[in-house]
Amino acid sequence: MTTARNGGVDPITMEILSHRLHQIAREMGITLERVGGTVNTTQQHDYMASLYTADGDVLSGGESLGQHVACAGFAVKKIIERFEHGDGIFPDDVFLLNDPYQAAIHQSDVYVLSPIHHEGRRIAWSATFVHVMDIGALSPGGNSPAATDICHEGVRIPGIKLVERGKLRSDVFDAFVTMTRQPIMVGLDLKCEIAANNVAKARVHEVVDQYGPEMLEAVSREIIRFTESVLRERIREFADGSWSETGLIQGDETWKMQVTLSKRDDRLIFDFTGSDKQAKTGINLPYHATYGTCFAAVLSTIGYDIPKNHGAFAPIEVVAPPGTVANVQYPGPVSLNTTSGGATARYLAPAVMMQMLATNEHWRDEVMAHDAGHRFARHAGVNQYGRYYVSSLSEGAIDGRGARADKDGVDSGGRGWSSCQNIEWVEQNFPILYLFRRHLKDGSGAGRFRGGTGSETALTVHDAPEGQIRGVALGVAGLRNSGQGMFGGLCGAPSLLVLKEETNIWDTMSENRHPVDVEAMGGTSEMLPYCDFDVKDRSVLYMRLANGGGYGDPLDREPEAVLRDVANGLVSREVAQEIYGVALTPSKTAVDAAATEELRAAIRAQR
Amino acid sequence: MEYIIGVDIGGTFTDCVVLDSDGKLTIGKALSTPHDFSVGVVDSLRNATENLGLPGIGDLLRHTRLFFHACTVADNTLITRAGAVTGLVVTEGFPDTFLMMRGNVHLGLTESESSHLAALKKPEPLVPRGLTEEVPGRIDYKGSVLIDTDAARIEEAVGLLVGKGVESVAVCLLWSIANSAHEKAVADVIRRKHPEVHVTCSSDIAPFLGEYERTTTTIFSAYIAPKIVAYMRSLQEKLAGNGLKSAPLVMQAYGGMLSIEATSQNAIGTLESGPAAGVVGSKFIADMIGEPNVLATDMGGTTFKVSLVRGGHIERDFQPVFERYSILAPKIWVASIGAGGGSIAWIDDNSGLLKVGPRGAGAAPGPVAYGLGGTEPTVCDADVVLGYLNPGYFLGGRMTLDKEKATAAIDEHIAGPLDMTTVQAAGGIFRIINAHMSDLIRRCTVERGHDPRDFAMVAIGGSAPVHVARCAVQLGVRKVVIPLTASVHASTGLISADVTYEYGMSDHAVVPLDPARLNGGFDKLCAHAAEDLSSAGFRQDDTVILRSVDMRYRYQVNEINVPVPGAGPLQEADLEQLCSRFDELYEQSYGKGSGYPEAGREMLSLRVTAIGKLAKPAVHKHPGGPGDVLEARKERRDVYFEEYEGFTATDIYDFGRLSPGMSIAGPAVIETPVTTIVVNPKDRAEMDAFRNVVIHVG
Amino acid sequence: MKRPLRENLELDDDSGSPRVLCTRCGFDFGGEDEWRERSYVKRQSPTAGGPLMKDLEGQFLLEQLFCPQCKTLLDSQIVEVES
Repeated sequence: MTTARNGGVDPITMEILSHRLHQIAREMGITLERVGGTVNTTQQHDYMASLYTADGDVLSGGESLGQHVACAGFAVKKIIERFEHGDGIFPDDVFLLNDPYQAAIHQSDVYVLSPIHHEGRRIAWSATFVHVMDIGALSPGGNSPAATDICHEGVRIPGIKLVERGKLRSDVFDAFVTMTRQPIMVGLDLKCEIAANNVAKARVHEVVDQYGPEMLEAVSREIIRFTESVLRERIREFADGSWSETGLIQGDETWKMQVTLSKRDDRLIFDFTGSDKQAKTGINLPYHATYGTCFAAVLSTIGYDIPKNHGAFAPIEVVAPPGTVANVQYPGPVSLNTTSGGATARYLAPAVMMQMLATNEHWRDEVMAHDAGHRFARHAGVNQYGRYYVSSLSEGAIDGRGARADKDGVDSGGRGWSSCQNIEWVEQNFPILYLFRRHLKDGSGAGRFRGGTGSETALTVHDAPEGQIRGVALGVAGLRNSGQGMFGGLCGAPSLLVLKEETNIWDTMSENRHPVDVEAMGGTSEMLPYCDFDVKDRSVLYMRLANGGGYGDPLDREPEAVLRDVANGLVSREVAQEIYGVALTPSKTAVDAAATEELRAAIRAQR
Repeated sequence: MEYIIGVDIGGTFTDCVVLDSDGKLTIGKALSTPHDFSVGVVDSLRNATENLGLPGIGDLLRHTRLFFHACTVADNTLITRAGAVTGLVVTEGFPDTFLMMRGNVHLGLTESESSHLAALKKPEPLVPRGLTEEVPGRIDYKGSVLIDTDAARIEEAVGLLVGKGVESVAVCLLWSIANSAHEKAVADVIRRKHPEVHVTCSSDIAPFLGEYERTTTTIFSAYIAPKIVAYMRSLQEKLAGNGLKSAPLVMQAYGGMLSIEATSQNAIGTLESGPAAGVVGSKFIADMIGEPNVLATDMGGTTFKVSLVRGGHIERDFQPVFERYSILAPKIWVASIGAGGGSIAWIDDNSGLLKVGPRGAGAAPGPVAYGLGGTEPTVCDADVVLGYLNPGYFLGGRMTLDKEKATAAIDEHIAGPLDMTTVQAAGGIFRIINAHMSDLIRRCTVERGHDPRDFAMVAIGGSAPVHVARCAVQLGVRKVVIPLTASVHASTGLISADVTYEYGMSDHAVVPLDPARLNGGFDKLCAHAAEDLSSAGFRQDDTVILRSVDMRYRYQVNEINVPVPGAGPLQEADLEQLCSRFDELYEQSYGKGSGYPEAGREMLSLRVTAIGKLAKPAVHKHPGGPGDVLEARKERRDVYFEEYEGFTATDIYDFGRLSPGMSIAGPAVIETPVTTIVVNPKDRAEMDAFRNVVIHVG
Repeated sequence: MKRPLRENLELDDDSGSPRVLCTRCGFDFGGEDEWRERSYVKRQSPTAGGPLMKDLEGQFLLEQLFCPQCKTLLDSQIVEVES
């Protein structure tokens, strides 16, 4: 048993205060969710809310995503750097920053940061970001496929005072929101960020009033020290080694991103050397985003149960040569990066971590196959009530997750806190009719444990006053998205966006039959790249989400598990036979054990 | 003499409270009987009969005007997965809605559970994929039929399910809330061809937008309905057989009563209705002592729960989460954490920090001090070591606590490893659990825009009166009430409840609202309400019908239930008033400036609450005694208080010897047959005219 | 002592220089960096990994590594046709 030596803080107060600080960061997040303007904030959990020490070290990341917490660690330090010896940092100042070369992942992530003072002395910081609806870039909504440099991608602010000594600078506020296409919405987002920072300030003051600033500082130091020491201890449990993985970013061109993870004693070094030069489209990642991805990969695997704070920075080193897709320099664009370079990095960093985990008996049950992202779409137009709207399809929430070393991947879900919209909700608000939404048969990657089953959806327009709506095809393009297999496990079926035109669906429906078979819909069919498109009368948008990658050799899968998958319609009898080598009785209600053994031997022999 | 009876089935005991026409309360208790809960109900009535000094149970039941009941049959059925073999009928093309769970696998999980990605799993579904059948038919958002259904295909689908042994069928088709014809067609086939099979249609039990939540609600209801129906039948027979002439009324999770017939048709309404009765009991106490805003807290062996009464109304949740599913059945709003007398104290290997909960020792083995084989120290063990609990008088002496074992466990597991004294360790456990509970109350109040200083706290459950006054002082709550009837609190809630029907329907409209449309919708719901109330035997004078709408700003997710004033048809002006009332309520909940009127407002659902008022005698007030409070003092013992950083000789009082008007300054401990009340050094306790103990904090 | 390397492979460092072994049949793949080269490699149509991989045909191949002795599957990758 470890003996507590908490830097002079008694372990009871330590426990109570660290719990309290976590609750404060969490409450900041709730505040954002409650009063935020965009669905990104209110429904999709795409925001960050954290507490920092006086020097800008991350103190508590609450329930924010690891990557965001790490980036925010850069943000506060940049503000301190810029203002400490310049215009000054005073009680009740609030700062704004959204420069991707400073700390943001892309300009749409607008940071609001606020120092917290006690009797004139700075004792902490709070910070939030939300992903705003528009940032005045080339394309509405912030993702600008046509942008070739950062200046096409909207407002970029390296640090400015939004509130000065408690007074909102309406000149700054108005200037900022006016540069966007949705000033009211963005204004509401900024206000909710200010509100969340005010919550943090009030709560931290309560803590300081009760325990004193010295106790807060001591506890802060200890929480950070604790995370660092646990993480180092855990890293030390692994034998030294190095593991590599390569990924492709596909768009009109293809870029390579590569990472090698080296484990040396109690340090992890992620080296992106070998990745391609930065692109002239917005697929590039700023350094802190690459760093944040590695940070998240480490914390979600060997640190899922320890506080997310600055202590995790110390043992993690990230090398990314400047001027590459993993460390973009001025004037490289970034606006598409979350679904391109970011998605690739979010696959690569966990992929090398998993290879490391597999080498340790104690950690191998934490191994999980990862995916390289999926497609999704925005849609906009005039709805059945005559109003112009912009919205996103949310099926990304029901993709299949990767298989684990000891169990299958989660079917349709588990990506995060986001939820897939109800069909009735979509149809009530937008001129859309769903034809089907269901689990995808044979979509998941086979393996000893199979990937989670993804979903497939088809929809058309219905009651659209203009006869059509506009779509924007987004997400990870190319056919190597979706779930990647692990240790022999197979890849999940690719995530697709297919536009069919001039189909016969209405004829089918008029005959009182459901158009549930894509092949039988007739008409033309086009696999959509990253583009705009129209969904017209008789058009069908077919969307297939990511499917989890498999783990291990499919011939090692329990035959009973294959039987269950067949019974549940997730695996076809053919795949059961040919890939899993499982023979079922003619009624498909039981495994034919003898035939299965023979079949598996035969498949092995044919390999 | 005439009686009003409330019987509540709990995990261990079935409690009974009898209120006679003089306002006198009598209590009965018996063990719960899970094999057939109605046996325990009759046993508890027998016990009450004895306590009343009546010759037989018939002498009680024959003179009973109102019989109220809360049962855990639904909860039990769900927890033990003992429900009906349930099948699901859905719209062709959409077979996996229930299994997909809208992708939100994290719902209902704790933060630490959901952060462990490699361990995430979906729950085992109540209806497996193999018992789901698709039927043709497609209705759009307007209710127009795009694809007609097909009777032959329905028969085939239902036949397949019945062939697989299905006993109960849930039917949930897309847009049945706009046009229920196809769901009715499926139900007709089942009733005609398979009359033995129970059928539940989503358009009947949850006519609200959102096919996932509607499906879940329908499945839950279909799954538990046969059990509920059978139990209700057996209960009614037993009660009638023993002379009860009035029709029993059953507690619903939203805090109102329904007849046995209505309950059988809405089985899901009884899920978590026991705790609801407890909250109604807390509101009863609040009304009694004239407090409009109450934090209804309950701390038992495993969980600490908080509900809110604001402005005399219990806060409700229209989309509660059961297990890991979100359900469209109104329920009393409740927040909970794993913090109770049985919560285990442990040291985190990584940090060397002392942690308490969320894991608990349960009823068996329970805390170490119970001597039933528990080895890990718990909150209860700390409470014994600190002198709060009397080892010789736990539960009124019905159980002896082993202080030595508790001390040894704390020494071994906590104090030793942390290099502390036993008392420091026990004091640490006490402070940490109180801090967690304070954090929960903070989440229920401050984070939702309420100021805890505006609330009184009602504390029920065996462990609460030891701990909650510490939370109160943390949060600025000025008054904590420990009710006389704490041990049978839920039953007390039962006898204070009224018959209440809840109605609702989705009706989406963007502001400006059309008065004719709203009036049309409300007329429909109110007609239902009037019919149900009148067939339940209420005269119009004894009924109240409340209307409300769920509204939100467009593009936002937070819905607010806005009361609609009056009872007559709504005019344009009323609707404008409704909108400004919505703005007000929104800002009240989410903070000044949080409203977003620029985006426009929309209405989502209409709701009607129909109340049939039941006349009841007022509870008897006790006259203040002339006696000296010192006569109620039974002993002095050393009790730990953090203010003194150690033990101090403390007066221990016997609740039974206290009389109204008596006042006790802290530090003190009051022992009752069911719980222990700790009066902290700066607080003062007082017994009120109803024999409740009121702690004035600070 | 043996320790895991990944599913179906383990490292044996008893002899001083660690060797990679097949956990199923004990086949010796040589040093830690050599096991890929010593695996039996098979490239085939991506549909060998499932019928829905047919969209990848022509552009990509399924490349799989097996233990040369017992043919246990060790790795599956989707690779570009020209690579």
